[in-house]
Amino acid sequence: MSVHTIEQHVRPASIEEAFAALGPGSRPLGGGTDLMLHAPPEVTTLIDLGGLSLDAVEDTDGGYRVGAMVTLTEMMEHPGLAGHFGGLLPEMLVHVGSPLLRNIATIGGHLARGRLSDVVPALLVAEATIRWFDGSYHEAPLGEFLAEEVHRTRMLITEIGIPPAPAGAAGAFVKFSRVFYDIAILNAACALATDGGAITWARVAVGETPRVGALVPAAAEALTGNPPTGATFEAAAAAAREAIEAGDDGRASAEYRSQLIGVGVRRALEAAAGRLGGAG
Amino acid sequence: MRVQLTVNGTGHAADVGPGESLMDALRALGYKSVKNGCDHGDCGSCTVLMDGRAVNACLVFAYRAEGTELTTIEGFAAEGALHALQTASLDTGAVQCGFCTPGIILTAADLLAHNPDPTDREIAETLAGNYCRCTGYTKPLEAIREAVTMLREGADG
Repeated sequence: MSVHTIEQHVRPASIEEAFAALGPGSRPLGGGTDLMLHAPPEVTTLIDLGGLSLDAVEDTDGGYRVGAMVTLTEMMEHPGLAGHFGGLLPEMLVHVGSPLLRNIATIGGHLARGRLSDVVPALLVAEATIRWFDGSYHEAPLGEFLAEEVHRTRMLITEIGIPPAPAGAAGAFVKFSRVFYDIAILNAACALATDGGAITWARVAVGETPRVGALVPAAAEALTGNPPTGATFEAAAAAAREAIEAGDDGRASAEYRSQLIGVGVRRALEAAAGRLGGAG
Repeated sequence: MRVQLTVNGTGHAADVGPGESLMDALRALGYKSVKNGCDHGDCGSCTVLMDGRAVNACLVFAYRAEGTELTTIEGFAAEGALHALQTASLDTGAVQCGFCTPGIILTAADLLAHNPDPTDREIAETLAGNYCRCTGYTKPLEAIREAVTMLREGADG
């Protein structure tokens, strides 16, 4: 959708230059899909981040550094990222927009929205960090970045970090929506590792409650030390329902969401358990 | 602003606005297969290949296409010979009313270039952003499966 209020774009040669250009009438340009769709009337200048070498995925000893300009498709197709936690990221990303959108949309642009995200719960269970520049560089866990609403401040996201997964760990993602790639009514992600008998490490995140995704430590506590069985997963699902106060919006009622939290967490845990110890 | 756009191998010096979409720019250049269905990235009627990847041309800023290779359906039949996806679409009756067909074929071309032997589910997931107003996905799915076979046999032969 042509955005007729845009008067110019600038192509900074450095992050510092890009940051200096950020102001009330300007927006950093990742893939640009959101800017085109929502066309904020106050935006007259685009700060094109395309020339800042933020478009690579680097392997770092079992973990990854993903530049802010990497597209969602590139994340899905990167062999290492695609296999991380037994396929957690592609399982989630296939639900984010269509391939046509994922070929344009960038991970940095997506996270800069700070809302409406299937990506966030999956990255939270993968213990992702986010790096940004606001005159100096900062890096923090993604959950902290979102909780403190850093995305609303004057800053530029430059990279996300994904640490190595615990040995043998597997994850899964579950989404409820009206149709395939619609905005989620609720989503859930989890990741598990076991020593063969008991769960030694667990992360559970739930999103679109309707708040953006967040880790659910109570659910992880209900899992850790227990065998990966239906009874354990029911206990974790119950803990998640107890811990999360679901809300109403146009997509679903709080009551309905509260039911979905239990179902989503249980299904995600069952799927992840099915991948444990296997090739994914 | 003046940008150089390469469409189906032909260079164009195009005057585009700083906020102009690639869809509007391509239509102004006469590539009318790039259809304005929804202008919101939902329907896929404006699909083009940008360096081989299928994108919603309505969601790409036109100036950013400078330096890329753009392909529309007008340029898809190399030297007059139909692509396997086009032949298969005709054979199976997948062209239907024709409005979504360019987008579906280009999206499928991106899929097959990166995944030459997709499952039925992968084909269906790939078409999630290409709406068929005839509501008939059976024929396009058959066409893509047939094109997979044609391309494989072509490669083997």
